[in-house]
Amino acid sequence: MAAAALDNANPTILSASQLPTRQKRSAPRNGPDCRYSDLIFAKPSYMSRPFLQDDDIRYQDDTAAAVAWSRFGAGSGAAAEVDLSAEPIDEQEIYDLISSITDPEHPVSLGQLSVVNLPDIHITPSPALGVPSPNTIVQVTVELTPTVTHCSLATVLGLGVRVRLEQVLPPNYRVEVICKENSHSQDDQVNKQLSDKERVAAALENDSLRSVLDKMLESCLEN
Amino acid sequence: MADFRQLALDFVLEEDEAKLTELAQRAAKELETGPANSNPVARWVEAVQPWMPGNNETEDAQETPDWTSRAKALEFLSHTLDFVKPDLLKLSQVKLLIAFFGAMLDIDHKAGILASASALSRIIAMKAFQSQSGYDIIGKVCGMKEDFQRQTIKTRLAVYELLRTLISTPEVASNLQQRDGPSSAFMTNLLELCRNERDPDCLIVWFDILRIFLQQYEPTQEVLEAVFAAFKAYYPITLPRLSQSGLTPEDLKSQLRKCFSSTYRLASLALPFLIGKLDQGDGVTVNVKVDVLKTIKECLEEYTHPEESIIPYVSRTWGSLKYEVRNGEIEDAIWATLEVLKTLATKLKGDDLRNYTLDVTRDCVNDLSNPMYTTPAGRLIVSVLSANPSAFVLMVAPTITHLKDNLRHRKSVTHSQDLLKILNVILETRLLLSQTQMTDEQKSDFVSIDGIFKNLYHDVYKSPVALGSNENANVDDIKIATEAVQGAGALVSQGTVPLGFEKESGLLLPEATCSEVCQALFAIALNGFGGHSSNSTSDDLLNETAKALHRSVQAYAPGFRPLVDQFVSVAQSSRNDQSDEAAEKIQKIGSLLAYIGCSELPKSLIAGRNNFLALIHVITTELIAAMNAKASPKIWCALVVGIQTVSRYFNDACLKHNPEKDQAFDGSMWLYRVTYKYPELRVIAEEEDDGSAPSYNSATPPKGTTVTELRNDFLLVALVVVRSLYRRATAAVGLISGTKTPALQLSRDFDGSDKTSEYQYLHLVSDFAGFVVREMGEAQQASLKIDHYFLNLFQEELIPVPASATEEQRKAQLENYTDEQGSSWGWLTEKTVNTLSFGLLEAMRPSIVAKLFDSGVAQELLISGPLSASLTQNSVTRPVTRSILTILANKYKVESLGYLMSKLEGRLEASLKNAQNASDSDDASRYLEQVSSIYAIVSGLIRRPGGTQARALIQRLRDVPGNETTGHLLARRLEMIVAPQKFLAKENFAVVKPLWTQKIYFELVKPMLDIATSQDAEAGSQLVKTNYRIGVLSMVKHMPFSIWEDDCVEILRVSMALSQSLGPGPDTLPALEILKKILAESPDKAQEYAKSLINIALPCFSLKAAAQLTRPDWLPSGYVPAKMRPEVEAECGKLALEVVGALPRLFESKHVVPFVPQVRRELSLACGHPVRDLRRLARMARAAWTEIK
Repeated sequence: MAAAALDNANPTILSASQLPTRQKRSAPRNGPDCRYSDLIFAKPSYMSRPFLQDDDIRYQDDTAAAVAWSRFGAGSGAAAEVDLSAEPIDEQEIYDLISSITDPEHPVSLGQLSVVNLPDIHITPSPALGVPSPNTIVQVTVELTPTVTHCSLATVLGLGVRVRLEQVLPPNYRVEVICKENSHSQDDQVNKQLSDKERVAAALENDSLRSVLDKMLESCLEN
Repeated sequence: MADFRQLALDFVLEEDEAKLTELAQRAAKELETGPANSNPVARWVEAVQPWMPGNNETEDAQETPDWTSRAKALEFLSHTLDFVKPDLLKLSQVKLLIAFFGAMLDIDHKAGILASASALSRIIAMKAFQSQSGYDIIGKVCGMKEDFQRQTIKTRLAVYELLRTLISTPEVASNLQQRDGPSSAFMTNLLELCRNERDPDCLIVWFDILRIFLQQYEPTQEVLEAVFAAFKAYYPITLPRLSQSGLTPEDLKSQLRKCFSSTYRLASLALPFLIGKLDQGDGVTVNVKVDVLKTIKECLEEYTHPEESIIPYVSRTWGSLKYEVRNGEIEDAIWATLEVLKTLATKLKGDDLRNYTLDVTRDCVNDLSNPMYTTPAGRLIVSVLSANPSAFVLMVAPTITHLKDNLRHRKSVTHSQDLLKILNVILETRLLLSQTQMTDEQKSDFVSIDGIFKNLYHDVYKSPVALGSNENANVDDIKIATEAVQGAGALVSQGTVPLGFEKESGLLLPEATCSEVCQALFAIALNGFGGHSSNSTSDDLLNETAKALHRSVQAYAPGFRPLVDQFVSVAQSSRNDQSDEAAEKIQKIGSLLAYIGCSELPKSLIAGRNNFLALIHVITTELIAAMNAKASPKIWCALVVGIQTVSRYFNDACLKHNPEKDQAFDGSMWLYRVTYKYPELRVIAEEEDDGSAPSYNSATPPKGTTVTELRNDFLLVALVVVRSLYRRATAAVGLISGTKTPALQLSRDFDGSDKTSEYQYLHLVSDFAGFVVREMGEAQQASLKIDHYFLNLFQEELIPVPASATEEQRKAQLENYTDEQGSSWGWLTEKTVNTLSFGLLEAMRPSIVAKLFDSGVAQELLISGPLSASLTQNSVTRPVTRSILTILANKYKVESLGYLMSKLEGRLEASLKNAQNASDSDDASRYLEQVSSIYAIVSGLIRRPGGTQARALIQRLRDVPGNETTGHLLARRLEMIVAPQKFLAKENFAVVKPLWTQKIYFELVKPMLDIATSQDAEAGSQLVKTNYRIGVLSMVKHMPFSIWEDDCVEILRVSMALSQSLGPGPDTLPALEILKKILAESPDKAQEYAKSLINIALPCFSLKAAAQLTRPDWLPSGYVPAKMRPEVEAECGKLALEVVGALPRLFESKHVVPFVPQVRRELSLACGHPVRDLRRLARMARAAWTEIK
């Protein structure tokens, strides 16, 4: 795309570290004075399977003492392991899924351009109510903020977000992508296009549009 | 007498390089051995006559001569010369040869040049060679004129080599100078001859010739200019892209660079030329720019007579180069420029240096006020002032004044950071320069500017450092503080330059300022450790503060003690605090102090020891006081972590100086002697405090010490602390009726109010003890009788240590042992104090462990241990008991004690039987625990060389899964035998045979695998086979793939069969792990099982698929735990998703395509899995399956 065609040649770009995210857990400080901390706080190898049998845990009241291994504050042993408890899909998770989509005009992500923003993602029923059953229909609404009000690519952005979410959310999640109110001079038009299933399907048949979308979603590979 | 003609003919006809050399060697030998009267040299030269022009009887005059043969014939001569001794030829012969080959240069431009040039190169090395001939040879070479350019590269190279040898030979050189005088006509001719050279290999030699000429001859200005013009034409040089030569562009560049820097007389030509190149601006590429800058630097370095060569160009150089840094963007070019400017300063003296530095200062200081140019200005200033002490003295005062001014009127946060950074670098520079050799005058100049630095802390650093300890500091404040603390640290470590008779350099800052800095820095740490908001910015601040404090205390030792005192007051005020935060803060400050004071031995070893003693004394006393005051066990933990951290830092610091590691101690009364030497330990050691001052406070300077002594003292001091903590943690068991033997239990401090922390505290103490004992050599452990302390846990007066017994006595002792009575030492390994005994045992060397067997105690423990593993033990004590059993069985050759082994076998047999016949599940599990403890013994035993001699035991274990009621439970626990354990690692002196895993695979796993995969109904029922499968997989899981690679397919089938029949659960977990490993290592083996793999994996993450799963009828209820623990469920799902997600990548598409619809459907549902990490894996797997076309 030629530079002259850019709708907004000079957008405000946030640095990746400024974006809200859950992906990076804050690692404990690792200064020169922490050289031996991991060593000293390591849980002894016999304090877990197989020397400590599951049955032990079932029978004894001292279980907590054997299983818990405190490392004071942020660096506690539990946080270092991957959290395996049940958590519903929340706004932050949706944000992490779409904020890494690359802008079709600039080599930066939608999150960095503030096209997608955490407060503009809405889920009903609220994730605070717990993990919904697979038979509950969950509505996800994402409001986009194009970088300029006359952005001609707003529909492409919306399409990208929509495609991405449909690829990664389970079937009981319904996705709605709209432009945030007053963020675009023709937001009605854009919203209409984005919510029209047939037009979306037709758009995806279009090879050149498809390749633009693929390019946008390339950066979303999970790590 | 050899026929030279025949040799020559053979040579001409021969192609093979080795044979040619052989012929040449034969000819050379003939020349040496041939009788003088037969004139071998003449015959040798004449041998090539048939190929020479004008002497061909056979050839027609018009016929084209055979150039190739002639060249070959001449090569015969030159190649022979390669093997002739330099003293063989006489003067007349040499002259003859020079004439001969010289003539060739003249007349035979087609075939003779290469041979002549190589032959002449040899001849000029002969003893009889006369320097006058050199002139003639050069003349002949120049005679080639245009024909020279037409020669091949190889030939030209030979000629260049010849020329180089000639002009660098001193005799020839002086002859040349004598004959041509300063006009050096021969050079003019050579320049004419070689002016069109383009080959890189030849150029390297040609440049070298020019360099030698410029350096060693004294040509007129005219010739100088001609030579300069000759090599300048090549500048900037690069290598043609398709060049075949092995040279790099850098070789060529540096050779050409040497021409530029060869003599100072070139300065007036070279410097303006080079600077002119730079001034072309955008016309030069980065590579060229860097090349030019390097060339200028080399010229400046090499030119002598700076007043003539360099000084006239100083301001021009500065004027051109400063913009490279100020406006430049390419880091390489900037660095090269800074190097030039620095080199320039090193070449200047007196007024010239003053003028130059003045220029630099004047041009740069104004830029300091412009945030855009602050960093480049700083780099320029620093590059020049770091050149030498004189430049530093001249520039530092005005620079610092301006830095201070600008810091007062800072434009932005980054501006402040940049300014502080410049100041920091200036301080580092001062530190380096103050350690260089200086003249007395330089020294007094250097000292005269000390005043500027003395107030720097108050003028500059104080307030930004204080920002760091401000509770309400924002991110910007923290960034500024991060720079400032580095500067403050650098400032404290500044030393004075000793003047006159002073030998030692002192501190530059007054002591009061030094301690003020230490306090201010420590305040940052105290403030930082209190807060919870941890982010990378504040982490940087804390890390830099730690480094700065470390530096400061290294330079200013008295700064440490006040910090320790502050630690004490923090700890004391937290005694009643039950929160995690209080404990965390204490632990962090303790670790920080350990790093500051003990991570490096200062110049004075005593000062290092004092830091260690002060810190460990204070923390230990505080720990005891905290226990007395019934502080939270969390605080105990924090303090004991501090003790261990101090010890580890100090130990590593000692080890860096290579002390002798195994110098035995005088074991008798070691405690008395240590506390006598270090009276501060008396209270810790519960001795009477006679009120003497701590050794580290002593005013009288103690005698010097060695690192070995220091480390040995460290080990003993640490052992005193261990002893004290152990004694504090244990108490005598009150009188229990019916017992006479003494025993220990946990002291009253452990009241169970916070069991988790109490237990962790015990482990930390035991870990510390393990660390101290592990650091001791074998002789040291033996001399201190560590085995006794294992038995009495340092309570010498309560627990008598048994004497060693004879083999017969030990046998009898074990015979008399009854389960009802148990072992009188059972408390040591089976009750709550076992964590403490474990720590010592883990670190004991095998020879020390053997002493436990000498008295028969260990044997008893091995028998009574498994029995205790019943319900009287809990989940905290039982794993420790098992670990102790493992270590005992590993560090001593128990397999050789027949009486013990038969007793163990009997125990195993009885336990198995009891478990089978148990009336209820509680009863059964009690006996199962006993069997598990015997597994623990086996796990230590089989790692020993010879451990597999315990055949009966291993044989019995092989059969345990065969039981229908308990087999599965026992099979699951077989994992214990092979699972890795820290205490079975070499660092803990475990005895591990290199191939033990292979051995156990064949002895134990393979026979079980055979039953598990057997189709034969007689081998066992489905249930029994399933038991065997569980057993096999729980062991294979811990073995590397290479060991079971040959049985990979069987193991794959076992894994699938097990997962299919049991469904997701704890037994499927190892199966999935193994499947994942097989897929990673050898996916082709699994390819045909794609359907089964998918069928196994889906129920692990899909509720729907799981619901459809039915367990086989033959599976008794309770075989699989009714309720799966969530982490097992999640772990299964995770592995299953990884397996499914990897299939499209690993398998050919025809194997996966049939399952696409089903798998995609399940994966899309799995994207809504309740566990977040599983959703992530599901999305990845879904993407992989979507891509299948």
